Amino acid sequence: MKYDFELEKAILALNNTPIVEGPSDELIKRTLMRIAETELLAKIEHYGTF
Amino acid sequence: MKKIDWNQIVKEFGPLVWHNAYKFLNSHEDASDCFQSTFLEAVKYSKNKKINNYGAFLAKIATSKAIDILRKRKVRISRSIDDEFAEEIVSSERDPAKSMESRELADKLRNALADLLPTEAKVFALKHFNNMSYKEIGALLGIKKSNVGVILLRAKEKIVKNMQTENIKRKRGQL
Repeated sequence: MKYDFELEKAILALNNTPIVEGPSDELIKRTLMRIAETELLAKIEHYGTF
Repeated sequence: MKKIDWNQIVKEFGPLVWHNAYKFLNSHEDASDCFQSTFLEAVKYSKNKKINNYGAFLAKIATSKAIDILRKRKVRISRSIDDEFAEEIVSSERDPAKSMESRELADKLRNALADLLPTEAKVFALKHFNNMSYKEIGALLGIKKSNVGVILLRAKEKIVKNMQTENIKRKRGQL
């Protein structure tokens, strides 16, 4: 039982992990650029060319 | 197929993905990697299949990616810049000893999660960190609802055993 109690406390602790504010605008921008690249590559693969 | 507005999706669900990633990884750099790879996987998936519930789907991918990263790094013991960051936030809490205990407990759980089989870790994480029902987890992972409970129980047993072992090691001064 002792360790079940410890597990419950650990779940709570992980759920309460202090979160650094995010995602930053920079991360969102980089992610959107990678998405655009991925979509472009998929189009090239599909159509062979533009 | 209807064109998906990823700009809107990243903005709408970005905080959810970030929160999931950071909670698991407790590292700015790793959470950023997890954030990007989660959306890229969703983009690839969406080319062939329709995503009905973006929130649940992205939470599943973020959890899965975070667990992969956890496995690879097995929780860094050394203090990182992000620990300093986290400490600044934690230091605002009233009881520093309690904060330290919470961080140690969370790290123990991260270590234990990294040692589980991928499906066990995902089921455990979706249940306890995303508050999903057995039905939702089953649907997301393609597992029967009845099996979700079995996997969850097995995961808990392994985690408890892992934490128990770590406690013994700590007492012996091996950690």
